[in-house]
Amino acid sequence: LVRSWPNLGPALLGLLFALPGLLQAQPGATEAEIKAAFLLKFPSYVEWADTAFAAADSPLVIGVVDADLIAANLEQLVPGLSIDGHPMQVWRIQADAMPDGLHMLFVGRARTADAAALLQQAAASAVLTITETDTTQPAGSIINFVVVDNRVRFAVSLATAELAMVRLSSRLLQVAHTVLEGA
Amino acid sequence: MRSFRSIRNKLLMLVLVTTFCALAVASVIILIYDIRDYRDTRINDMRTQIQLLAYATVPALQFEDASVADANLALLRLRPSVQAAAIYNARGQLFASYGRADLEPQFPALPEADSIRTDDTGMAIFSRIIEDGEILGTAYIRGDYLLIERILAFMQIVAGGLLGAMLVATLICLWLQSGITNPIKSIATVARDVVTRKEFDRRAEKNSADEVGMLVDAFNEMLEEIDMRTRALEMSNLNLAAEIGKHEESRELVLQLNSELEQKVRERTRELETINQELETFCYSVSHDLRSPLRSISGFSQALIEELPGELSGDARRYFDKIIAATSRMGQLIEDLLNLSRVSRGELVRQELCFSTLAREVAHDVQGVYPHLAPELSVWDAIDAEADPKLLRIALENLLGNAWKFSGKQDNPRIEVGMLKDGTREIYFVRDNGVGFDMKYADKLFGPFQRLHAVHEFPGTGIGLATVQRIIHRHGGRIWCDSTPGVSTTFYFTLKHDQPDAAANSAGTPDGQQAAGTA
Repeated sequence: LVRSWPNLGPALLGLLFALPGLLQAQPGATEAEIKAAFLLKFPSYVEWADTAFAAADSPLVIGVVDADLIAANLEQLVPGLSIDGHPMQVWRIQADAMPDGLHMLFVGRARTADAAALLQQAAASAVLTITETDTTQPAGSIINFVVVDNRVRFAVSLATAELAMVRLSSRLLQVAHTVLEGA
Repeated sequence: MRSFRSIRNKLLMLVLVTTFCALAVASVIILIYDIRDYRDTRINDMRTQIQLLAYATVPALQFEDASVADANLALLRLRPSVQAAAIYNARGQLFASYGRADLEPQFPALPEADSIRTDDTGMAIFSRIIEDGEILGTAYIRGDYLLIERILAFMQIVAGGLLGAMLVATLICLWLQSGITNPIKSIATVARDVVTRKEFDRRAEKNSADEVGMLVDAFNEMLEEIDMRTRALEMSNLNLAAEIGKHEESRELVLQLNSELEQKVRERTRELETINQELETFCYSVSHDLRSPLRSISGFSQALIEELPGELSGDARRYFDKIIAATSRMGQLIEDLLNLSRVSRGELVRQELCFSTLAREVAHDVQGVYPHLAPELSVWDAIDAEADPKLLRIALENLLGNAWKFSGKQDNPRIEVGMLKDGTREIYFVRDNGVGFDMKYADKLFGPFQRLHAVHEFPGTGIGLATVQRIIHRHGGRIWCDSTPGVSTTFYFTLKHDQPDAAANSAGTPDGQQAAGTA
C-alpha cells in the first residue's frame, strides 16, 4: 500500500483533481463532505478477497443507500479517482436488494433499520459496510461514523469485518475512535 | 647526553617527529572520514525516521485525528537524539508536535519543501507526506547533530593515542638506538683524545658491520696515516734542525772570517794611511828643506855672474844661465810639490758656491799670467756647486791654466767652462781647442811628473793635473778627459760620489776613458 517514489508524477496529477475535496476538510466543511471524503479514503486501508475483482482494472463500486448529499459529494469526487488501478464508481441503490459487484456499501442514517437485511447480506458477501448511527453499531456494519466533540470519527467492528472476509489495515484501526473486537 | 644536539637526541627527535607526523596525518584523514560518515549516518537516520513518521501519520492526517498523530510523535521519545518533531497538514497548519523534555520546543511557522539543513545545534529535515499521489501534509524532525562535540571527543582520543604512541616510540627508540649511538660515541671519544692529547696511536673499537663500522674503519685508517705522517714529519724536522745547525756553524765561520778580514783591512788601511802621512810629511819637509840650498845655488850663481862680468867666456856665461834657469824650475817644482802635499792635507770644508763666478775670477787671474794670449772665453751662467772653495779654485787654476797654455798656439783659441747633467749627476767641464793629446796616453795624464809635451813646447812641472785629480778625489768625485788633437780637449769632473748605478757602470774603467764622446 505504500507508494514508491517513481509513482509520484501521476500521483501529483491526481492531487490536482483531488484539490477541491481537500479544501473541504473538517473546519467549515459539511458533515456530508467529510463523510464522502472519508469514504473515498477507506479503500486504501482495506484488502478485499482476490475474487472481489474480476480483473485488475475492474471498477471499485460504492453503493449508497438513502444518503443523497453524500452520494452527490461522492459523484463529484469520484471521476478520475482510482485505487490500486481500480477506477471508483458510485451507485445509488435501494435498500431492498443488493446488486452484484458491490465492494462498499454506505447506508444513510434514516434507513439503517430498514437496511438491516441488506447489511447482513453485504457483510456476508465481502462488502465493506459503513453506517452512520452515531450510537450503537448496527449488526452487519463494519465501520460506523460517529460524531465526537463536533468531529466526524468512526468505530470499527473487527468481528463483522472478519465475517465479511474484509481485512482492515491496522493503520486504519489506529485512527478509529473505537474498535469492537468481538461481536 | 651532554647537549641537546647529541646524536642520541637527534635520533629520538627523528623518531618522535616521524611518529607524530604519521599519526597526525592518519588522525586527520580518519577525522575527515568520520565527520563525513557521521553526517551520512545522521542524514540516513533522520530520513528513515521521517519516512517512518510520515507513513505512520498518513491515517491520522487522512482522517484528521490529531490525537493519533500526537501519539505517533510521542513515540519519538524512544529516540533521544530527536529534539523536536511536528506534522503539518496539507494547508500548512501545525497538526501535531513533539518536543524533547529538556528543550523549549520550537517549530517552524510554516513547513518547507523536502530538505535537510544543519546548523550549530542540530539537523532539521522536512518531508512531504504523500499518499496515493495526494499531499497530505509535511513532517518535520529536528535532531541532534553533535559535530563539534564529536570532533572534540575524537581529538581527545587522538591526543591520548599520540601520547601513548610517542611514549612507546621513545621507549623503543631508547632501546634500539644504543646500537647506533654507542659506536659513534666511542669514535667521538677517540677523536677528542686524538685532538686534545695528540694520541695518534689510539684506535676506535669496531663492533658492527654497518655504515658506522665502515666509519670506524675509515677513521682508524686515517689515524694510522696521520700517525705515519706525523712520524715522518718529526723525522724531517729533526733533519732540518740538524742542517740548520750546520748552516749556522758555517755562517758563523764566514762571519768570523769576514770580521777578521775587515780587521786586517782596517789595519792595512791604518798602516797605509800612516805611511802616506809619513810620505807626505817627508815630501813636505824635503821640499821645504830643499828650497834653501836651491836658493843658495841660484843666489851664488847670480853673484858669480855679477862678480866676474868680463872674465866669463861665452860658454861659462851660458852654463851659469842654465844653472839659474834649472834652479828656478826646481823652485817651481818644489812649490808645486808643496802645493800637492798641501792639497792632500787639511780639512775639506764644503759650501754652496757659484761655480760660474769662481771660474770667471780664476780666468781673470790666469789671463794676467798670459797677457800675450787672448782666447775667446765662454763661462756658462748660474752654475752652482757644493765644494771647498779654496781647493776648487786651485783645481780651476790648473785646468784653466792648461787651457790657456795649450790653446795659445791656435789661430782662434776658444775656452769654454760649463756643466752637463747626466741624470742626477752634475758633470763640470773645461774645454779648449788646443793641441790636445793622443788618447792612448790618457791614462798617464794624471800621474805626477807625467808630461805629454816637451818642456820647451809647453812649460810646466807635470804636477798640475795630479793636483787637480787629488782635489777632485778628495771631494769624492772623478775626473776624466777626452781629446781630439788640434780640435778640442775637454776635462770632465764631478764633485760628488757617483750614484751606485753610475759607479757600477764605471767600475774598472780608468778615469781617462769614461764618457768619451759625451761632450
